[in-house]
Amino acid sequence: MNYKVHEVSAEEMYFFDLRGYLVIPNVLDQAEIDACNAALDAKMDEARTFDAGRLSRDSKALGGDSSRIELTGMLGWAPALRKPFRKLLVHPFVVSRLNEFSGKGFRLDHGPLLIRAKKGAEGHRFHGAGEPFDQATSYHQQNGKIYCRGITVAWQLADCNPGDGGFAIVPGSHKTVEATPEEVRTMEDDMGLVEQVPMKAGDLLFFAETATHGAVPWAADHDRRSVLYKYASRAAARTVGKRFTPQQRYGDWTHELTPEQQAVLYGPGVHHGGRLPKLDSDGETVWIEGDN
Amino acid sequence: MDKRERYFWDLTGHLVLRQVLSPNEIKAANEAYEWYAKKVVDMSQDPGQRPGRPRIENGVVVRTSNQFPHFLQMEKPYCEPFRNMMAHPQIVSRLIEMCGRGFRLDHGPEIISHVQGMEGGSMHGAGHPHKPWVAYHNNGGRHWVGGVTVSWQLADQPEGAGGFSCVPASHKSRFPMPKGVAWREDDLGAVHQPICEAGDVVLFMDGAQTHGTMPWQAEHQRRAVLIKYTGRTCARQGPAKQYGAPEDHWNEEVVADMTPEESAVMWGPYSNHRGEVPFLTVAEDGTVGIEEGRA
Repeated sequence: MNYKVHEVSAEEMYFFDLRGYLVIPNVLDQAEIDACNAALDAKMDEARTFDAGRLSRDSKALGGDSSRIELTGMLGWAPALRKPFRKLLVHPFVVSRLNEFSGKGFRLDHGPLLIRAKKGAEGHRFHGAGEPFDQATSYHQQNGKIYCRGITVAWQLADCNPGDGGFAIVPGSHKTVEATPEEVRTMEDDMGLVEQVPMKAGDLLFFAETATHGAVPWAADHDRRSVLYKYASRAAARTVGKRFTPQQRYGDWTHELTPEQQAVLYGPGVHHGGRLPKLDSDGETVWIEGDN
Repeated sequence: MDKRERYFWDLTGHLVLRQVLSPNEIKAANEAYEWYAKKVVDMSQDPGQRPGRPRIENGVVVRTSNQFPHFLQMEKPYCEPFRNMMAHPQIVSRLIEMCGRGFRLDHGPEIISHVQGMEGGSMHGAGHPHKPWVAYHNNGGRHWVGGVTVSWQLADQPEGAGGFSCVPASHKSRFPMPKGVAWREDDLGAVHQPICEAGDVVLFMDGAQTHGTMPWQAEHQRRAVLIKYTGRTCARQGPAKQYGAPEDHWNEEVVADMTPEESAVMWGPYSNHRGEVPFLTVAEDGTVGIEEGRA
């Protein structure tokens, strides 16, 4: 494919719509890769390491002797350290593609997030799919336009060669309307559908969050390093903002309302840490789930 | 929501629930509205600054703004009829299925109280162009819609009275709406005015189903209380817009000293932006800039 920085080609539109992901090679030069890696190294003592088994669950195919290492908060770091990550936030290759895939006015929903893995680290159970439908990240194509509500941009800061492991996807699964077999999610019998996407350091990956994706165990001698930015279309929300509760959004007068009335005044988003009271009703009474 | 309702909703894009409010509840809501309307008409201040931002014509409140939850904040007992509507069991039981668990009140309530002879408004909303935040989707035997307006009828809307009207099935349309339908100059026989009595509730797919208002023909005043709900991950306006600026949505250090282009992607989620959210463009040489005319 011939990649132009300012516009998406017809081939890219075809490929993204067909497969649910797109890789643009060689977007970052070595100096930019080095700047990101140096900033990450400077803050690596703040990283958290997952316990093995957390991401692979009970899958033998995805198991490993360690888990992934995560680091976040890059946009708020000291100026010298945050600079390379703010540059990636609105990189021209990202802006031109997201204007087409998610629409003008797209927004960062959460991230950036470093995913680091050492040799032998477990994979990540495959998640996402067109079925069951997920309003937060839904994919839709209509009359020649793409509407991808949730899209992840993953910058590769280390090579992912064939067989290394790391990011993997079920191409085309963003459009499926049938349930995903459990053995595909665990990769114990993936029906030949899972594809580990080879990439080099400096490559740029876009994938529809609604596509079935995960990670296969990391097998390379060098560490996996990928920084993920989670974007959304203009009016889509996954992570809640600073103002989530009725009091934060409307004021103290909302304390006068019943808990059930307050429940409908929370802000948008699904990543709320269990703070959202959810309503249930039989048509005659209303209650908060878990209260009865 | 039973099978008949589910069929009707999926097919047409709206649903009428009959006699949800009792005569006493209708009376209380109308009295609260009349108390409000008299109070704001008698106020000396600029109408644009009056509570609920009413539109007043010939000394009569004919509509209020949907931007402020004023009717929920009024002094007791006047707020109570409206508070009882916001999480009413008949509504919650439907919205759980229509929008999904965790649905939310996005904006409103507003009140439409047109008098005889008042003009209608153009038909708006449709399956095309696609608007993800209000769109309708159905697969696997389940259905979802991003936005539902719940319209509580406090006065009858008999046949030919005008008021709320819609184009059944238009939430699934994939072709542009003809101008004749939008302005009802040649509506192809596609526009339908549901017949309602006071106490009924109309639910419709706001933004997905084509809908609008016909001129009000009845001698009595139209009275409808509209509350706008969305799915858990959708945001249209209300506080989402009020607190949508990057510094209101994110912690201070995350957005401190960002360039205008960086800041442009840090706005919170909401659809009803009228130029305040910057759009980004990319020049041929790779320079990222702000689209002309946008912030």
